[in-house]
Amino acid sequence: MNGHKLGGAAVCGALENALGKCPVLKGWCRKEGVRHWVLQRLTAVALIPLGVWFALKVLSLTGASYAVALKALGSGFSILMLLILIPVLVAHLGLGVQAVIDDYIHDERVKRLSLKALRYTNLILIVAGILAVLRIALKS
Amino acid sequence: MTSANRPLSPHLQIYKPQLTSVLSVLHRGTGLALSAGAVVFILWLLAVAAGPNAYGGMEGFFASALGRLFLLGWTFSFFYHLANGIRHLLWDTGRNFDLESTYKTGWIVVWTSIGLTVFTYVFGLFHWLFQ
Repeated sequence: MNGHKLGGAAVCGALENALGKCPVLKGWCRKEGVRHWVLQRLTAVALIPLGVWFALKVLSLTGASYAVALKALGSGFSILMLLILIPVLVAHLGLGVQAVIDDYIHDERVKRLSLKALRYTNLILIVAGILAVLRIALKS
Repeated sequence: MTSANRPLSPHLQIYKPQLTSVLSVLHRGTGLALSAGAVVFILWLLAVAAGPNAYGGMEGFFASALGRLFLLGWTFSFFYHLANGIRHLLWDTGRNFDLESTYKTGWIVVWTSIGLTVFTYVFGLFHWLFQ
């Protein structure tokens, strides 16, 4: 497993330098298990405010007309929150689904293929989500 | 001991359910349900980006009986995964690891997630009645 290519070596290096004094986080980018653990927690903490904002937004839009939904999602603050929420949410669910695959799929070949499919699905979700948000921003 | 006859992890079929194990399984279950929900969330964003027709199609599904059942499931899953996720983050800091605290925080999570789900629907009902 070569790990998350999305993050990029530069980001990893910078984060490791910043976190270098902490014994748990030191070198976390290079160790698959530690990286999984740390990323899962970082995204979990970030999803507390992001998720609550999203839940309130969806609740306020139940039964809303198209014009109302477009206006609510197209505000500057909503666009910013959505652009942060989408990659963080997809990263978090990817780590969770990966753990389930690791636990329950025992055939090595099927496991490798499943993990690959998961990565491509995640990438598509992030790209599609960001493009949708940008189009909403342009429309409203 | 050879690898063939090592003891296995508990068999779910014959394992007596306990609050701790049930909540643990539920955390994964709700996580998977919310992952499916995230895909629908992205589809919803794409529908808003596409225009009124696509948006109307999705709203039609959410207004159907099956759509409403899905929304109820995602609402509870969201609150449960959020509350139990915070419980997990507290464990990560080394807190509440003894058996008594584990059960106490477990019941807090159960009642918080049920309570918030009920509150959401009561709030939604009032919003609908008095908007």
